[in-house]
Amino acid sequence: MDESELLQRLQRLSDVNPDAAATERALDKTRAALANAGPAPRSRQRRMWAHYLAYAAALSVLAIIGGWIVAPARLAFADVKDKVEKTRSVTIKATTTVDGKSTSERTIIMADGRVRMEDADGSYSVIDPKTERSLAVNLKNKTALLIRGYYNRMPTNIYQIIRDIRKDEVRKLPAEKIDGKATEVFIAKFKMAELEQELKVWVDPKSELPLRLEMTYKVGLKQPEQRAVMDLVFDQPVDEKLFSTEPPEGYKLRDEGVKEPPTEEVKPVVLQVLPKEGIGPIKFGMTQQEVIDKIGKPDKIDQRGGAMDYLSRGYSIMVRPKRGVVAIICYSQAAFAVKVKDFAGKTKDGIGIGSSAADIKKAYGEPDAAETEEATIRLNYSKKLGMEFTLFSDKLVQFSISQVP
Amino acid sequence: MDTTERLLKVLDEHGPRLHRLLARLTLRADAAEDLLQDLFLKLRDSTGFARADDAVGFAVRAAVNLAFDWRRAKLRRPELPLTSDPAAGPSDLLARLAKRDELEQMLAALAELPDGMRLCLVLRYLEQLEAEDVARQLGKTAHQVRALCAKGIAKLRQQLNEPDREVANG
Repeated sequence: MDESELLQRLQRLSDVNPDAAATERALDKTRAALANAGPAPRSRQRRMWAHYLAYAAALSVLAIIGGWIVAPARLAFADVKDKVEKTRSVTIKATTTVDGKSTSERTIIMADGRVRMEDADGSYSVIDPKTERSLAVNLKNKTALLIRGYYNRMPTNIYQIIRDIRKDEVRKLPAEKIDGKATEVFIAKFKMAELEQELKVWVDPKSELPLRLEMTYKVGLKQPEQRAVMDLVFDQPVDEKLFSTEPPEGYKLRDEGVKEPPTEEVKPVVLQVLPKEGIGPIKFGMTQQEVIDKIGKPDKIDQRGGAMDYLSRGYSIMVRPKRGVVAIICYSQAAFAVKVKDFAGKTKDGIGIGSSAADIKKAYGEPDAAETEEATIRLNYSKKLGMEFTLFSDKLVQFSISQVP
Repeated sequence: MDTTERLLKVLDEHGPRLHRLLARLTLRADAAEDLLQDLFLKLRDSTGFARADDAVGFAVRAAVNLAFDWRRAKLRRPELPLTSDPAAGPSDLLARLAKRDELEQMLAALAELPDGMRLCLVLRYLEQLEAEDVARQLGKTAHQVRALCAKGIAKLRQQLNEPDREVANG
């Protein structure tokens, strides 16, 4: 290693920064410790806040469209359904207020399922379900993340939503005016993120399309209440270029996923997971070539050759030039936005994708550490087994196996 | 100003910097949080801090020592990540693992340096202070700091190039 590389590595160390919320929590605890007041209550980190809100906004408008259509009321709902289904796009300006602080963003949803979400600073994300591509552009950092083979976990196709939506209850309220315009007002109920939500809807009686939505909701049981007001405009002229998933020039690009599914058909082999050893024939310490000799070529090699992604089999392997295989991650579709196949292997104790936290604890005892955040549980057995488990809604979605020193 | 007032002033004005430094030296969110509390409780009982002309510089030096004591004592509870951003894909996760491995080895190599040399490198490269500022904090000349840093870099290179502690290119 030459001096410039060493300095680059020191630079990378100086780039490590804790979350602002973690710093705030540490300072609070330190103040409390100094005041002999005992540990301060731990405030929960709000993960992916903006994304949840964007999805909440997108979902809410789609949900109300569905709820509106099927609900019994005085207006001709069949006509409304026809109108909505004939629209080509809806542009949503959403203002969300949490703990007295407001943020605004714009979301454009096309009838063919394409979605563009824009943050206040101009950063944006585009999802194109047809091409299975997603592009997230961060203006501030001049970075772009392109995902090929994007797995769309959120429903964004208006017509699919309408078909899938359950029969929601809609209640009529007295008429109101928005910006001097008479509107019909309704309250609709629907489920989002497993929670019952309530929407207030203002509808233009002439166009029979929703003009505004307001909802107070939670993205999780432990999260603070949020209030979102969404102004809707259907069929506003939309520049097709806004839905381009080509990364802008001059941005540092990171890409995930693969262009096309692997051409080589893989024989379904269920690999046994062996803590401290590896999975199936792949053992810690093997070289990249030895891995390929044993299980074939990966779908993608990344990280300057250090990461071998077998996306079509549900695992990835980290290989170091001199130390060989040092870590393996096994996963399922629920863990990623990139299309992957669920890992089919299990440990000899029967732990595999879909296992519960109770199953894991029964097999391996109490973890070295555990963390719960909303529906996500992380069980850490690094010291005991060199393994870490991530569960969503008490189902194992991903786990890693590392060499134990 | 009594010691507690002085501590609270340092915490309010430089707490985020100290927490960031501890996070860089431990690579652990839980450890950085605990060590920040330990640091201020130690400073409260420290006669050196009470007498120090440069309270912030004293706190920074104490934080570096505390973090490397923690590393040496291997008080390594299992990792709680510094951030909880979800991964876009497996390569993203592996990249995080690779980066972490690389940073851990760098910190392990730093831990083996003599105290003064290590402190000099931490202030110069992790805190990104100018040589003159490091010199002021350590009571040395800028020339001495540059020389100490150059020796430190050479030692780090030597340590990291040893075959049994390879840092891969990934």
